[in-house]
Amino acid sequence: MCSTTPKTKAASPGVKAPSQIGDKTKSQHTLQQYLDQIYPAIRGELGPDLGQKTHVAISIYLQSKGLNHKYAGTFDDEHQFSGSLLKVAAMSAAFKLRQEATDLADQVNHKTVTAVNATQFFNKLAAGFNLSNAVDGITGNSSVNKKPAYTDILSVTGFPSSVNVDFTPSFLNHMRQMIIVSNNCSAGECIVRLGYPYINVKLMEDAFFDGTTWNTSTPKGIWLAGTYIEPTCFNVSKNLPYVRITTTNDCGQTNTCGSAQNTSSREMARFFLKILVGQSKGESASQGMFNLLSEAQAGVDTSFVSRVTSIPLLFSVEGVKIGIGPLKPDPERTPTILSEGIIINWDIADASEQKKWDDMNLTGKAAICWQNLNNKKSLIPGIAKVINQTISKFINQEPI
Amino acid sequence: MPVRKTEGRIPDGFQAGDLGESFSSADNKCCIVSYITAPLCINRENNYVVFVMDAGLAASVQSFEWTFTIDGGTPDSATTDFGQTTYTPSAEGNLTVNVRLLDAGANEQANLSLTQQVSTLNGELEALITEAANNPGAGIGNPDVLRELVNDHNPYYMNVPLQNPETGDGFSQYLFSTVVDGVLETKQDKRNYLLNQVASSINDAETDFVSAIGPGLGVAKVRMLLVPMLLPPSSLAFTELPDTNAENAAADEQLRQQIAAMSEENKIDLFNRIRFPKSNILLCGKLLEAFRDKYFSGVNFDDVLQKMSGTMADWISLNYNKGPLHRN
Repeated sequence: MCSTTPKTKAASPGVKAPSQIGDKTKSQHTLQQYLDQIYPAIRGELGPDLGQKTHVAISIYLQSKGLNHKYAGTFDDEHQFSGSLLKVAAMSAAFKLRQEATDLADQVNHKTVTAVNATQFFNKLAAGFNLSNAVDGITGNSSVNKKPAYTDILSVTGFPSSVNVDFTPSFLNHMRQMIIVSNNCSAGECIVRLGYPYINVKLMEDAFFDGTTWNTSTPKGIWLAGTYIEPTCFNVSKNLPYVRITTTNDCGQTNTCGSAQNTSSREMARFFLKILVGQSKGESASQGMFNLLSEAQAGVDTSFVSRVTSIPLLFSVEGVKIGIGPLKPDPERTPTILSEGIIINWDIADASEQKKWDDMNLTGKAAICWQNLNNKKSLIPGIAKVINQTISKFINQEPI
Repeated sequence: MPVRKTEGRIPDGFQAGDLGESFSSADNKCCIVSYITAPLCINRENNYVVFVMDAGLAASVQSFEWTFTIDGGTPDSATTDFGQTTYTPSAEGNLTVNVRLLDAGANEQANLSLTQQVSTLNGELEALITEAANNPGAGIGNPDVLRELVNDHNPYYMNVPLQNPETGDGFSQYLFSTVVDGVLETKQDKRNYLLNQVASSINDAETDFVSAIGPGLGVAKVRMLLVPMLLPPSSLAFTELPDTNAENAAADEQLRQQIAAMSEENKIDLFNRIRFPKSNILLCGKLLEAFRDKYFSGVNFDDVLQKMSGTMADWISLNYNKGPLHRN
């Protein structure tokens, strides 16, 4: 009779073997079930409920040690204007560009591709992009630049066979200003240099934006096609027209709901999860982005929930991008709304609590996005409560 | 004899909950035990047993009326002559199991209920099975066997403690694989048949006890003679068997005859500890640990599995299935 006494190595990292599937009596309720129970109970603390325009969206991903990240979300597919939170899309595009250039540099160094100077290098780099795949609203706009200003973003040195790529000092400085202190002028500089098409195409390639929905009543995903440049900015002459698509929260008192810096919380949380997962694997781009988000948390633009003192927080924030977005005039709303994307680390008290996380194959870290909260300090503890209680009750599998 | 000897007592030192998911009457005269602990799985068979520990109640009970209802829907009913039945839920929801113990005049003498959630097959396992089916390579094993273990028994094999806890997951891996072997070799119908043979030999001597306890029994194929030999209170002297088949079989039978000579209560207790998957798997784990301590004292299970090309694990498994063997 065939014996299954195990002698060979365990299943590949991140892939569970049947023997590792958790005790069925201990993992009966999903994270979503807890959020579905907790959110309505706390909704009154998040401001007046005036229908869809006041929906406070939230999405939570608990990072798995493998592939089975736990997810919960409310109003998570609603496309909402979120102001400065969307600057992370430019950051992502920048690191993506650097990675693609680094990959090309490796090919040059291994002599599978020929490029003897920066001009040839960037020509070859550009040839690999399909920027015409950007949505029509961007490609059809004659006033926007159709490709990145490569030499204003990357420096390439070491020809012919020790080619090295990095951000130019100027671009890096602007990107740091964009993320760490949310400087609008620097954000505009980054976005103009990258260009809307490159940002849009890379978001679509990574399934963070569904290009088929851009001109529908329900766009889906992360959309950045506005520069943040203000009249007082040093680069005001470079400003680009905004390409606006429909949102659920930025209509003012009219039916004109278009905005240029929008997202659904689900895709934004997944974006932060990707940074978290990549950072834990030591991926250079993810680590670079995580470092910027971490510096933001360590600086003046800290996470709104991390500033809450009225209730104990059961977690600490490791990285953040906040958003304070000006809505179109609406007397039923505050002039600006708050949003943020955060990476958190749960405060695991002791070995028995650690075992609960281990039994669920979770790391104790999470990626979260919440948005569209009226800009009132008194409302932020409600968000903290949702996060506290949803995750705590899930880990402890409290009765529902 | 409606209340059979095998359902007349809970094993010494045990509670009903040690055998499976259970509910006891307020006066503790009777209880119901489910083989599988909820959540149950749709379209998967489960067994229920009623124990009547009070002699007076046992004398009055003549039949058992079972009713199975999911979320207040149409009940499934059945009447049995003794306190055991099977049920396969056909829908998701909350299953209420009710059994009335009736006297000769169909008057209710006792009433027991158990509520269990019924849900679908374990999604993680189904994803693994699908992935294995779609990709070339060795795969993950027999899907039907894995479905039984993960859907029915995983609270049991995941919660067998070692006498001396160790780091690493070698013990849990070894226990899992041993239970897989048991389920793979003997399908549920055959397992029920073999257990019924033992029950018959105890209840009404219709079968021969010594023969009936020969095979490995229950989900983990536990050989009854190992239990009193290796586990406290060690009521059977440790005896090594010859490793050649004919001599082994003869020596094995002699040991089984020693068990047959034990008190009826001891035999009933051994049977019930092996009968129920929860206690059967616990026994399996205890026996593996006992063999490890006997032959490879101080070696943790990670090393038992991995060092010396797994020969330590092979020796333990061989003894579990045919031993204890004389080691040359």
